[in-house]
Amino acid sequence: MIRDPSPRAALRAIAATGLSGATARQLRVEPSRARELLVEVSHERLTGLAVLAEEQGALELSAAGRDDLLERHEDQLALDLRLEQVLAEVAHTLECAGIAYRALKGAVLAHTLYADPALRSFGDVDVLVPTRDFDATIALLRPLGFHRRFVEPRAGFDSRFSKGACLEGADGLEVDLHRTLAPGPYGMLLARHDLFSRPARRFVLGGRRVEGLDREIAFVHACFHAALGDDPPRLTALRDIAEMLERGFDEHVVVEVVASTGCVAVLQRAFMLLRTDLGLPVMGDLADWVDGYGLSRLDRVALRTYAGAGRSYAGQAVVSLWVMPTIRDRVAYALALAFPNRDYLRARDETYTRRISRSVHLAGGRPPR
Amino acid sequence: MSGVAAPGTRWRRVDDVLTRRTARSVLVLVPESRQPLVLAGAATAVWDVLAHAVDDSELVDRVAAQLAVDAQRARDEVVSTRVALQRAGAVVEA
Repeated sequence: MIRDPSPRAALRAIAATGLSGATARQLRVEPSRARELLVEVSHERLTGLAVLAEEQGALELSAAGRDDLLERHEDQLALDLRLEQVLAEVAHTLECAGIAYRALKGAVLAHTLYADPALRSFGDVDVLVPTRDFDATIALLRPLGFHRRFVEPRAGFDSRFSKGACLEGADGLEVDLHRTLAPGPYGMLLARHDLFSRPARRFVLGGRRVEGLDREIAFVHACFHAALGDDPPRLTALRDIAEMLERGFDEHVVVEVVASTGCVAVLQRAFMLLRTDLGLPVMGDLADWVDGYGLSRLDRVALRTYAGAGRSYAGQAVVSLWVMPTIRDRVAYALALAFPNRDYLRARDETYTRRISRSVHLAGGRPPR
Repeated sequence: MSGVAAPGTRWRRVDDVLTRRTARSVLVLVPESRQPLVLAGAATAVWDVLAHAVDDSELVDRVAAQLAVDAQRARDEVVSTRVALQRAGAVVEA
């Protein structure tokens, strides 16, 4: 029994609820501390797993705490359903327009990976489209009420260099439109692989067919999300990886994709986080292969731009320059960031002088060997 | 009155609703709505039985059996829940 655990320790235990390799922990939260924990549970979108932990006796709450948790869970599920409605509408729109797409993360994993979709909540809709259809998709979603949340540095920048664009609907719900699966250098490296080369995983939402990412690329994406997303990592992303490892997938495909694109280091960091943050043993052929990978200097520099004190968009921008395949791309990328359009500057309250000064500073870095 | 149907009319859930279940409730989002219905108590049993086409008599009997209550006493609440679900667009004539 752990009495009054720290919020992060409690969240980690909740995120690992029911996993076969997880150490069973019993958490008792005093009524005076329950609200603080449940706010964090909501923030991490772990209400479903917290309810499961409470039902299994692994999380002990007062009656009032239990009611609070169930109310939070219902609020989150109401949001999940609205987002699924949006995803079904977006999927239908893209299908009618003949644009290939893959739904990512949230709803796909809730319906195809978890024992009960109520265990996997989410906060937005994520959809991947081919780079060539990126701008057309944004135009196609405009009549549905979606507009860009952030201005791009120059017209066409996002479809050429960014992970994607965040689109906001009239009611504040967001569609994260992707052209690759992560920002920065590793997203660019992974984009060298055709993410549409494998058949979609189909499922039905509200009577409409939706195409999700296949198991293997979904596993790679979950690792990218955990290793390169928020810092500290989203516990839902780590739970996704653990669920996928338990259910299994074609490991050879995963090895081929990350080895051919130079992204093994991302899996290595994701596995490390699975061990340290969820306390799970990660074993087997894939884990042995990933653990045996020796980080290159590029890996070490690139990983520092995603996590810890060195995490920064500017740092990712510099390392991105190093992984671009052509000089022409590098010049276009650097010019767009150094001389973005005025709307972009206005949105960030910046000036050209300050921008150029920062660009000169960034350009001074040397690529690692 | 809308929702009151001829005897023998059979009802079922709409096919393309989105749902989630918790320990105490079922959330139902119908295509035309932006706000999910939250069904609790006896309404969750009504929703469960409406997975298959039933008329009001069958619905009352099955819900009463599921909740272990007297069918006559449950009738008004069960039928009014079915009517409310129909008006919300979550239930249609089979």
